[in-house]
Amino acid sequence: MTILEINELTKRFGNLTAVDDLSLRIERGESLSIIGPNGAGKSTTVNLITGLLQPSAGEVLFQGEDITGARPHEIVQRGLSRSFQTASIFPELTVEQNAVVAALGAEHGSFSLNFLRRLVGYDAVADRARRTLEDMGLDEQRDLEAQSLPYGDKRRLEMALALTSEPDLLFLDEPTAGMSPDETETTVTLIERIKRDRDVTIVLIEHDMEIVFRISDRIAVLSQGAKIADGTPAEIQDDPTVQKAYLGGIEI
Amino acid sequence: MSLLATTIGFLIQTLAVASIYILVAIGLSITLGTLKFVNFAHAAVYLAGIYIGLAVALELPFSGDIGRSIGLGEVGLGLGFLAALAVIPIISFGLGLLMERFIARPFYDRPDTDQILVTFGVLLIVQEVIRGLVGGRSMTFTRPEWAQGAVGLGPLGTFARWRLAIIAITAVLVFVVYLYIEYTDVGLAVRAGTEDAEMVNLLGVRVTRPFLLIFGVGSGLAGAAGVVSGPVFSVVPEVGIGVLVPAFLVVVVGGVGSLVGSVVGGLLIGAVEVGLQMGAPTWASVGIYALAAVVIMLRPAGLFGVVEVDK
Amino acid sequence: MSDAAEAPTGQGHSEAGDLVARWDAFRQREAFPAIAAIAFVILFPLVFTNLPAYNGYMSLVELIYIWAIFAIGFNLLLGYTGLLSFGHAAFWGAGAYAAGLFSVAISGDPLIMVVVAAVTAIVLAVFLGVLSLRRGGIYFAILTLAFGQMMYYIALGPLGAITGGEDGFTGVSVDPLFGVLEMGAEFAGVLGVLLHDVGYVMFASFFVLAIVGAVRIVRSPYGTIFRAIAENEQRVEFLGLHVWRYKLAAFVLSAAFAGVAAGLHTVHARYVAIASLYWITSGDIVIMAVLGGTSSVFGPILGALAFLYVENIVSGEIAFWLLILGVLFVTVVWLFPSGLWGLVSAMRTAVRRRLLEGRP
Repeated sequence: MTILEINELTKRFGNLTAVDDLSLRIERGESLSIIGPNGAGKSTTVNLITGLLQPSAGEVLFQGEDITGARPHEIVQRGLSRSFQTASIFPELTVEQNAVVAALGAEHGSFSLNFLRRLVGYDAVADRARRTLEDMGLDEQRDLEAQSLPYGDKRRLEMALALTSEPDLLFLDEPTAGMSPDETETTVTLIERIKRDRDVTIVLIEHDMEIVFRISDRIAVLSQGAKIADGTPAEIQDDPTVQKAYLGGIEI
Repeated sequence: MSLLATTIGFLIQTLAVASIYILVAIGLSITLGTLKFVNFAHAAVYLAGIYIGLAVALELPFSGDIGRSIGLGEVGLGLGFLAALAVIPIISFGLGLLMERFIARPFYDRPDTDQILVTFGVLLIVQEVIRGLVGGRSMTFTRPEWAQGAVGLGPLGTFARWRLAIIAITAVLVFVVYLYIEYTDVGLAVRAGTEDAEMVNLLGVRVTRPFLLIFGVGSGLAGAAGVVSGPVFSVVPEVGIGVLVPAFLVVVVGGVGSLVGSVVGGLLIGAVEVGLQMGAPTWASVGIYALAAVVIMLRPAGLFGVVEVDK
Repeated sequence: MSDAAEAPTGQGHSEAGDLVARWDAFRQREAFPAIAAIAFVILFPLVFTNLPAYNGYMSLVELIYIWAIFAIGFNLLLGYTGLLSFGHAAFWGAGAYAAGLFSVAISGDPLIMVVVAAVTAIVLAVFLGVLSLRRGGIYFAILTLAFGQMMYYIALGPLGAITGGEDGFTGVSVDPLFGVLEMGAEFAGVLGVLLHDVGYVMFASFFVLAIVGAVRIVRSPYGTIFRAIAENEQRVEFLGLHVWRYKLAAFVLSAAFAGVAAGLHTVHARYVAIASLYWITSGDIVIMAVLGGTSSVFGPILGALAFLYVENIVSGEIAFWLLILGVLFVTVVWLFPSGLWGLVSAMRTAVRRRLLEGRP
């Protein structure tokens, strides 16, 4: 079953076409990686899908429903979540509070008039937050200020936040950017475990080809805003257009 | 009065009102656009320009509570307006450099709200120091020679001299600044900086010095605005914030970071204010706020803005 | 931002450590803010009006409560959600005039006047919020300033016949509370010493309510969401929360507090000044909140206290009181973001540490 369908998605900034007539289908349960040289439009595409940017043309269908140009919070409520390249967390809140914010979004929808309700004792939220932290191995740090965490833990918290709502589709935007080899290995193992234990379709934006080949069922290659290849890792490896696009930069 | 005379009268008045706003707005606009720094304290330079200008040109009674206890009485150099116009912009320029170094720089990386708060606080302090020295009563001065009387412009009518003087001075100053920004290296860095300060920094251009200069130039203009305001309007310490709001409205309407925008914005705001004052005086002040509110809501970058300063 | 209990670091076998732990547990209970606030309104006037020098007076105490309510609400928007409004005088003035007009036109019952003021402020806030919250940061500040000034000039000019224009709105008529209790009716005996008069009880009650309400809001999901918005708005949106609506909620809540305070002020002063809509009033509330400390519910109370004390008492001795406040304000913004309350907290922490590490 197709979980996400992008048809002729286009984004123009003045004279620059960042995403050019992009069409893509993602099947439920598969893990897709979107790769491409810098400036290929990978992040712009994710921003278009997740509602951060308005497309100039084209449509995005999520689980059969049109979400083109919808607001980010609406899209998240429907079951599509993302993590960010930078560790986008709440620095001065505790780790637990970070998780609580995510849990609130998951439990009571995009808005609620519950400003007189005690948060202490809001069990559904507390439980969900606790579960997420335990699952990601951050439970011990729950009373620490988020900004005091080491970088790797911050990234893990970032991912934890994205997973709290138990999304059907998860975009991971360069999850290993800036990480040491050890941290990278931990992160990849984590992603593999998420893939295994949860019912979530994962879309990975990545530069590191080893990871891409390890995790992906399918790879889509973007270059200058357009899709130039789409297939299994083996197919992509042999594709001459892909090799040319990278101009011999990365060994596949 | 003939329609032509009324129209010309309206234009001259608009230009006069707009001139002050434009001179103050330019500094605000460039600082906001290039340095992404919100500077309420800009109005403090304007205030300083007024009061120091008066002290240089004429004489200032130090009748505030602190002033009286120091016992200075009337202080002034009485050198006349031209002297003030020559000296104050330089002093204001210096004040601008000091502001950049000691107030702006520590706050570049701090959130917008902190910048607004601290510069608001500085403005408040300057306002109160002036009140303490000179007193809070509204003061009017006998207009110096250049501000008295009228000038006949043939068939176009006669107009108050000081209005024409303000317009002429402003035009010259704006033109000079325009040339500076368009044709010098410093101006180039500023123009590039206004459009993408981050990129300019990444390219390794040392932007500190040009920024300092632009802070200074903007402040110099504000000081000049103060000098011409002093003798012709009635003066209270609160005119600092009083001019700040229309100046910000000019920046917002005309566009952040744009000299042309400040001029056009100033003319628009001036026109609305003067027009309403002629037609429906009780709505005069309301009108300019309404105009600014509409522009912010529809086109926050302003009419000529190249920068959208958003969180 | 610690409303949470600070874990005792001592061994706990010392009596002092035990006491601290029990105090902490007590503090976390639901009723604590209410109890503390009630204790405050009983003790504060006794202390304040009997200082050895520069002492206050009852009317000033009531004024402090009123402005504190305004400041507490304002801080929900500034300190918690991170939005700086320079136009909150709009709600203060609108609420005040509404209460005044209502008292003349329909009923002078003080409670209803306060309700009318609050409702007026809330409705106005929804309207202005929708217009002002389209943009953030500096634009929001300028937009709110612009709208506040617009209302000032409208009240001064076109609506001058209704508002009294420059002279303000006189003729506020305040009826007895519930129809029977005269506002100035003093209590006898012990009750009189502790509760003074009917008016005082009313102002103090609203003050306590405001504190309890604000603490409740801050301890609700809203508190955490507001803070999250202030720190990383985009992330909140991407966690499925409708950020714009929460900002509007913060805006409206802060206006509600302002409206209540404004209604109380009209009852208290029996007059509405045109200055209540002027930017100076907006600036004053900013100073109060920041000076007191924006990181907690209680900071603004201290800020209101300090500001009004200096404005009304110290100003008699020192003419340049606003200059001093200005310098304090800049110092706080620059170096001590947690304000006066932060100083109090620091002292409190020092005392705890002495108790915990001291002689067992």
